[in-house]
Amino acid sequence: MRLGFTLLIKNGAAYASRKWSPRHYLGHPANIVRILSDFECDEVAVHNLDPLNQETLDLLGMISKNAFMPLTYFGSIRHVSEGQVVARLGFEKVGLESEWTKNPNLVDDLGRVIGNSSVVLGITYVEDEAGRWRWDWRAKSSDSQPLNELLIRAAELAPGEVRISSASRDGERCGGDINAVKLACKTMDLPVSYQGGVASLEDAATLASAGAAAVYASTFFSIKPPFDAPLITYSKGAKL
Amino acid sequence: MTIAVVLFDQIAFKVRIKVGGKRVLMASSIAILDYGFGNSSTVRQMLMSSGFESAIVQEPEQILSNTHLILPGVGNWSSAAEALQAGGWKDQIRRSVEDGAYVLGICLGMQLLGMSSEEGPGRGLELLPTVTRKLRRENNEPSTHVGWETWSERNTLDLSGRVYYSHGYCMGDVDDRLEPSYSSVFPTIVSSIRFKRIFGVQFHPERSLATGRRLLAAFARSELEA
Repeated sequence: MRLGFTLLIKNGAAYASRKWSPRHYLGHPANIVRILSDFECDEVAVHNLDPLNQETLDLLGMISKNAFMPLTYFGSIRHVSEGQVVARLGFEKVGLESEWTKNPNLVDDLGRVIGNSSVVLGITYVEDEAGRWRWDWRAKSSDSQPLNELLIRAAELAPGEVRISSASRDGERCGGDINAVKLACKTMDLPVSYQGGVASLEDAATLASAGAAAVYASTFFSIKPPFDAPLITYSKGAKL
Repeated sequence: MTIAVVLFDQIAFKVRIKVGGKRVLMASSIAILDYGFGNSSTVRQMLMSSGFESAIVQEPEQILSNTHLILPGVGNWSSAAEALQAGGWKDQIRRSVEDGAYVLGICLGMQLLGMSSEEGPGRGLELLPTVTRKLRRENNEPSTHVGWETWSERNTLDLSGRVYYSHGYCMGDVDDRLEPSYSSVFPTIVSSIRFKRIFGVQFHPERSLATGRRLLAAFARSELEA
């Protein structure tokens, strides 16, 4: 099982997130990635809230140069050319979030250029009593599409991996959504990765035993209780 | 005999000698081929972290004097094969191999060392008699092989360790002459091959932390020759 670090980028700076909003400033993204390289982190997923302009591309290039582990990029990929540019900067996987629901052809088109195994479909959702509903982490809005239907649609597009993320749990250290992982693994014959609420290595191990091929965390690795002090750490422990 | 280039720097050094028109390797001069389908800068960065200088080359003619060629690869077979052919890379790489250059193919770059692929039309570099195939459920292989595994290098070099894979296709029709090693989790998936001075790895050494660093350094030091 891969245990990854999620890095939220806003205005060129790295943050630990809560409900996918910047919560704690962590530092320069390239510096964080360098520290994580030294810790032999399995993977880093960059979630970019900034526009994908030259300034952002320069920053992504700097991140890539400091990373000796795999990188995944999420954030505002609307065209194949944008995904290709990010991949050429050294991001092994390019994630599509709201883009793939609006333009399913983008998955195949991007796969033809960077390879399907390098395309990750992201589904961020919020939980309430009635179920789990799609939530756009960049627009911060829900559109009432149920998670199970999105999983079926995602599987039909045959990406390399599907990443599900609970916005309700993000940054809360309340434990992962094991039922969502089980649902995703039952619905799809694709690698499933999970993000949201991880509070311990035991949590990550439980999510892995539910079928997650990868588990990502941000707050767990970077914000230390009881004073919520920023401190980058990373360890898989013996069990993982 | 003419000495073509002699360069020294702090850690890496490059010496190429021509004997009767053939390049004879004294030490490494590494070219990372930027044909549009790989993380060239990442490979260069990893080599640099091991103390080896390398050049990212964007024109096939620029590899003529290089003793070591690295063919990275992230992408689709057909598009990449077309880029190699149309860009004039294929002939130049084959010529360099005939001249004795060392070649390392990474991921799709490894697959492109072969003949063809189930992923789509297009001919590879045709340096090896292999056909790339889709990962197969009937072999208990995943649709996409992603993640970290321990790689056991089957030869005497101390290169084994954790490596990172991300692929949906792998090299098929690999016979023992190519000295294949296999995935430690999915034993039908070829992890690496080695044939004379041609080496290929399905995983990504440029993203495989310490193991990747050791492997790229061994390639740069010409220690991978079969």
